[in-house]
Amino acid sequence: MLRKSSWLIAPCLAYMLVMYVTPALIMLYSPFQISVESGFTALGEALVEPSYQRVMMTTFRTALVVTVLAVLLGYPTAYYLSRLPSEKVGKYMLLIMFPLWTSLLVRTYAWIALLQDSGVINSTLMSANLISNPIRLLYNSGSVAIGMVQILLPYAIITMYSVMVGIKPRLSQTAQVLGASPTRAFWHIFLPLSLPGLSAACLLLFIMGLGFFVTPALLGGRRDMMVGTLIQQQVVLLGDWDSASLLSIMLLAATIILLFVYSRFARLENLVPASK
Amino acid sequence: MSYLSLIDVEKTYASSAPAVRHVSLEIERGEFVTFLGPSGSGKTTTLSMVAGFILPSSGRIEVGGQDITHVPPHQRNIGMVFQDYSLFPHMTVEENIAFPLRMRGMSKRDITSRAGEALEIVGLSGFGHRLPVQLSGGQQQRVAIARAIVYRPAILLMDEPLGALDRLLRDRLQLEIKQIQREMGITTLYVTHDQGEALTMSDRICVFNEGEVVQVGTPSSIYEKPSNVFVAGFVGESNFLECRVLTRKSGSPGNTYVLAFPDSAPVTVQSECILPVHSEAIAVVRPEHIRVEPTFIQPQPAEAAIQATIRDIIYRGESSSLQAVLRSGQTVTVRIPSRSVVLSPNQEVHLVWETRDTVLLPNDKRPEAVIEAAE
Ligand SMILES: Nc1ncnc2c1ncn2[C@@H]1O[C@H](COP(=O)(O)OP(=O)(O)O)[C@@H](O)[C@H]1O
Ligand SMILES: [Mg+2]
Repeated sequence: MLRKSSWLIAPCLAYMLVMYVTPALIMLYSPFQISVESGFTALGEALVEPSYQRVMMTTFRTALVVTVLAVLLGYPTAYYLSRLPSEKVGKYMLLIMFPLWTSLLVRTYAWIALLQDSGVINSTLMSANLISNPIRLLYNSGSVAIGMVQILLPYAIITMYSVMVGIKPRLSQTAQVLGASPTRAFWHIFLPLSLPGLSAACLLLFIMGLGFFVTPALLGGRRDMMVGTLIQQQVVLLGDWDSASLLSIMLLAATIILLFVYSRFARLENLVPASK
Repeated sequence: MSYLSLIDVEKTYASSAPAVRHVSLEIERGEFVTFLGPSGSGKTTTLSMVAGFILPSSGRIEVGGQDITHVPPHQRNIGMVFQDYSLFPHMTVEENIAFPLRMRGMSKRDITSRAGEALEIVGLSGFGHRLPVQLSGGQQQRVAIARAIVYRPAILLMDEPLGALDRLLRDRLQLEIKQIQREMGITTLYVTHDQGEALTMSDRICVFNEGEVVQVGTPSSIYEKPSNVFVAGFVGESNFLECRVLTRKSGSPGNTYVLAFPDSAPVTVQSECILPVHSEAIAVVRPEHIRVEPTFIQPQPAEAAIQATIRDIIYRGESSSLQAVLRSGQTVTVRIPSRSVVLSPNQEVHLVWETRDTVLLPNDKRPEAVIEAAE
């Protein structure tokens, strides 16, 4: 029955093959066009190129900071939602999803409006005579982190919620009759059982954070360029497709390695909220 | 003096009728008391108040004379077993059993030896390193029992612990639980909707219906002297024969009534129940107390006899269940040993029973409604 109807996924599969897999392969193949050896030589050079290394470090650092912040903010929310009766969760979920339906550009430019030298925050502080010169809030790693956290937070909450909702409230009750205070019941029972969700959220956010482009490009400064921005510059400003491709390969490799390592310790399916 | 007391305990969930009303109970130390009743009758709610998960809307709970109504669950020193086992899935069997001991700050050595003992009591030595998912339902429940008794709590609560297990396993675990309980002398509250389970295991049964305790007593008194139509219908099978009180003679130990049944000579019955003359009443007769006479014989003075027609004979293994219809149209169930069935449908018979096997109750409820609730 299920096998017979598997042609239902064919249109989508064909589309993705033509529109996603093929161009991605072409792009990644570009440095190897002349010869495979020269491609690997170029890759080796790219890996030790100091300016690339600096951008990669910034990218990893930013992704890490953003991941930690979003997971810390999201965990209590996901916990709260997962303990609500299921009929009450829907409206909270709508609220959490809502930012995802707001244009990324709108959300990012809104931050510029808030944080720039003549922005709401600086002008308020100045008119209150708390500061005499505008504070530089924009175009640094702080503004990038703020912008990215607010975009990634819904993903963190949903990923953690989908694991937490499977933890029976009865278990915490049981721990309490057995002599654990509510706090200890949380540390000994709920937290360990929620770890798959926590780690899935960390991985998901970190991978998404690595590839971020719009937010760091608009809110970040030149010194904290992330790899997405660098790739864009290579293509648009310099027309250097090979370099762009090499950077993409490095990014993709990092993602695949992370997924592989994660799959050794936990189910990859945890990354997908719908799976139970 | 009683050990565990529920004093006029009541619980109303937000904006609905009370789930538990005026429950007062006195439970002795070491006693095994069963809450028996249909689903939704308030058993779990009452147990949860003893455990401390739910705060009573009014009333209080005392253990050893101390009011524990507001004591949080982790300070009550109570053990609990649930129908769904509720084992911690990320801990091995041994870690599960060690959990309450760890929470009590016991030393590693003591924990190991105590957990080992508890595993032995439930017959699972050697399973300590398994995870709960690697065990069968029956084994998981044994682990849950071990975990609930390992710290020797003062009170053990069990909420339909055998509800998810199959018949044979249930019978075995009933005996095992009873044995453990008796050996440890642990005061136990046991919830079930299975009257057979309640009758076999309990020192006393507390029958719940619609949030109220409708009768408390030993298994034999509940079965033999149901104090109302609900209990008579829920605990064991019963026939409810409508009748009318002709005369009453007060006496001791009980009153002597002469009852009029349709299609029968007046029947004399002893009862402690007080019924006015001419009132409608219900005579409860258990199916196994009735015998079937194919031909009319003059009943003995201490016997009652009613004419009936056999409608159906249902084979049930060791016994057969016989459906007979009275002239009034009412159906009476009779239980007789299968080997002695020499009857056939549509046969005219007489149903005979000893009058002392009759329980007389006021006719305040339609018995059909009760039977439906019991099923
Ligand atoms: N958390 C709750 N909120 C609202 N009503 C409840 C809740 N728990 C139980 N009830 C209601 O209280 C009544 C008694 O339930 P319960 O104690 O679970 O019965 P039992 O254990 O005998 O099946 C039922 O009518 C049930 O619907
Ligand atoms: Mg229940």
